[in-house]
Amino acid sequence: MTANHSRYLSPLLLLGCQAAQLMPAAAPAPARLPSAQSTRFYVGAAQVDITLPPGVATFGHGPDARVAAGYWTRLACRPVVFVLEDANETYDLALVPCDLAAVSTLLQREVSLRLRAQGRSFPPQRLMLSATHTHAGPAHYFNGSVYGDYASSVTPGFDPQVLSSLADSISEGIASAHDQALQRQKSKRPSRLRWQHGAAWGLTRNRSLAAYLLDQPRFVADVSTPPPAELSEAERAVDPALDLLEIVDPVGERQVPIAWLTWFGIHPTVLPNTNRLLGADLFGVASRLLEQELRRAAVDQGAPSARPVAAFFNTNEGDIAPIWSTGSFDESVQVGRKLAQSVLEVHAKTATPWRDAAGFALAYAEPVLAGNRFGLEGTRRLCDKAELGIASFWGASDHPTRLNALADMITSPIDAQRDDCQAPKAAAFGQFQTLLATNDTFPSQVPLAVVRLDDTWLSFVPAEVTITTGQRINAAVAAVAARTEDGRRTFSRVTGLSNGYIEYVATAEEYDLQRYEGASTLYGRDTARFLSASFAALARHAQSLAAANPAQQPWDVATAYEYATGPLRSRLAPNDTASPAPAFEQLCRVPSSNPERPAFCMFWYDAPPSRRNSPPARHLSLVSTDPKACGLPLIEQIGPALAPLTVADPRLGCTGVLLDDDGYDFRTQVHESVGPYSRWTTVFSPTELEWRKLSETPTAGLRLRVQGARGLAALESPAFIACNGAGQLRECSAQEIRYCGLDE
Amino acid sequence: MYSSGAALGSRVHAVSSQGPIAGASVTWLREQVRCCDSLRLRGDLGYGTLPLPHEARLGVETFVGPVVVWNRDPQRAALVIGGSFGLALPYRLSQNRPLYLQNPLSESLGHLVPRLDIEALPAAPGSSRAADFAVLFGLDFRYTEWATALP
Repeated sequence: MTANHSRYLSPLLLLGCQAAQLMPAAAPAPARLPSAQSTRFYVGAAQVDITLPPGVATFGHGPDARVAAGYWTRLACRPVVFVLEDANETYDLALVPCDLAAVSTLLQREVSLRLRAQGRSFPPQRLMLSATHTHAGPAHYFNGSVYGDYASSVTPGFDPQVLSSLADSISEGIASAHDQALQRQKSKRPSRLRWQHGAAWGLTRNRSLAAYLLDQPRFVADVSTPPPAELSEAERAVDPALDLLEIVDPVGERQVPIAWLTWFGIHPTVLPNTNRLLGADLFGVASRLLEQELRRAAVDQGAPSARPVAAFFNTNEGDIAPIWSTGSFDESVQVGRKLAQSVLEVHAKTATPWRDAAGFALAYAEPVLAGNRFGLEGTRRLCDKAELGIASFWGASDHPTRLNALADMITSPIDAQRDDCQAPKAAAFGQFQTLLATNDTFPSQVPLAVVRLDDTWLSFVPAEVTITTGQRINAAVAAVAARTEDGRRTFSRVTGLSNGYIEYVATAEEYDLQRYEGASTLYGRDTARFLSASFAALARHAQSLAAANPAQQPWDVATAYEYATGPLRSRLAPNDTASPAPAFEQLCRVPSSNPERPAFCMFWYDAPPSRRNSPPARHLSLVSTDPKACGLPLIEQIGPALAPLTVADPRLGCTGVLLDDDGYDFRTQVHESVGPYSRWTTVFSPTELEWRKLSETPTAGLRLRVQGARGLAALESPAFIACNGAGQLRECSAQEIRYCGLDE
Repeated sequence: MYSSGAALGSRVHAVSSQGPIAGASVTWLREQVRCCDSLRLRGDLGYGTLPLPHEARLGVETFVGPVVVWNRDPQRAALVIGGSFGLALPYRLSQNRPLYLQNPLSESLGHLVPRLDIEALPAAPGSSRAADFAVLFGLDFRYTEWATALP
């Protein structure tokens, strides 16, 4: 937290109210990119852990969410930094996808401020912070009081420590990626990129089909691959576009992967709202699998120490749900694996030439939405006041809230009598909402940005847009940027959930039906049209063409403006003063119908969660009793493109650690307090392939290890053997299984 | 030198663990020293923090407000309007529970609430009642069902 911010917060804490505060501007001067056709670029990429300790609420399921008691996959940001070299100057641009439910503009500004304090030039205009939209990420860091107030999550509130913790970690990650890029620039080794534009059917379905069917014209997928015949109507009513940006570091004849960035539209919500573990859901699984493949490729290219990243940006996912049935962790792994396989197929199917230099462009505007008429005909305008419809409280069809049971009993989501700007929306809580909501309840001034990377124009939207809204924005941008300078066709993609959050944007036709997405379109039925016109203007401006500005202030300026937060509440555990070393309690085997895939539950004692040390990096691991054993990180072959790596590859280093909680094999949560300790459990659930590989690997034995915080001694379980380890350990009782969370 | 009596009151908290409080109470005070019993009607406006299971056990509530006193003066009944200040310290009896151990719907809380009120009343014109300065103590037990969807 900056001193500036604290100055505002302290008196507020005393007063217990949330007066308007001033958004840190970070860079009032216009920030552009060189718009040369052919710019050399140097790229760095990093992965930074943003997992918070238990105690934060998860965000995305409203009051149906749960407070996190632990974590499954760690949450990460994977910043990718471009250093663009113009004739006389260099420019920095950061694309930062994060395992968060949504991004607040406040978080983006705080990250930018921290980088500026380090002497790095990442004004908000060149810092594209996007959320993958996992609903197992934390709440408590939003501007717009509605996102921290009543029913925004369970135990709602705004916690400056959460904001600060996230901003610190994200800025550290960007700095690390920036240093890599600068190092490559210093070595005069420009990076290379290529886009692969493909499709992935069979992963998603439209969850609001009735609204989608009202659209005129109807959405048409911008892909060359037709949908498989066996798909249902809802499974065809999706945007299957999957766009892969591959970036490599040319080292002599070799090409060492730096990053794979994938754009795909899907709600990463396989896990249900009863989930109590932080995690990145299916995107987290897909990222890990692809990163395994990239590391394997890096090893093959003679760069075993390289740590390429595989990150995902969500696109027009507003009405798109994953195809899921059980909502289990295993199913999240299955869907994530399928997504990773789709990325590999797109990678393998097309062979776009590599580019040493590419066209870049950027434009940025911060329009005030309330009452904005930009691009709208006649007297049309965005509504003067944001409003939630009643159907927004019923939840989406794939994850309805508890209130959904009342939906048919209470009222229609449509108010036929209404003739104002929000018509035909039936307001949630009727007139009470009008009375209680102020101008700062919902974000009104929001960042809109377009970035051109070679042949692809990316529209960074601070919202969840439906596929048809997204397609209309894409079409509007493509209409003003149809070809590259060398005559190639361009592609246009929205990048949702970026740099701010105003919930959903449905088309006007969808809005009229007032399903969940329409009811959550805050500024009325013309919002989608406004965004299409605005992004087209941004794309013109990015090409230095004359364009009207949807914002009241100049182009490419990030301004200071007033915002409010939800009530201040501390949601992170206090720092512990004396951490006892972790202590082992017991380890048991979970009875399973599949002997090829056992699971284990370890009970242990450790300090209660603390914002300072929980969870520390690589908290949990499976280690060999032979400390010289080699790692087992690259054992799952998920695609046809890359050959499998041997289990033990000495080029990866031999530390005795076989698997760790950077993957998705561990689920750790805290339980009751016992004296100075808390009781913790960890479920270790390797995949079938991993268990088979472990069984095949000659090793003295296996142990589960819990790393002690801040240098304290680690604890290790008694040794067991993989091939018949299941038989060595006693079976967990039904009570223990429930305690470990395995009966959910 | 004390008086005793019974009080009945109610209070409305903002739907939040920290925030404004409004309330009213009525007290029938049997005066031991002075001439007359009194009926005291008080309005409360203030700010309070509710000690939730993951926070400190002790909360605080402060109030100010008008107090209207009706004296049963055998000579002449009088209505007096004064001011009051109140301080209450709700002490949570129920056990500490970090956020991750709380029920996702609601938490049941018991509080013991000592309360101190100070009332200042001017002399009542035409009555035997002189200017009055009263200090009142009270001890409440509260049961709260706290919905976790509230901040």
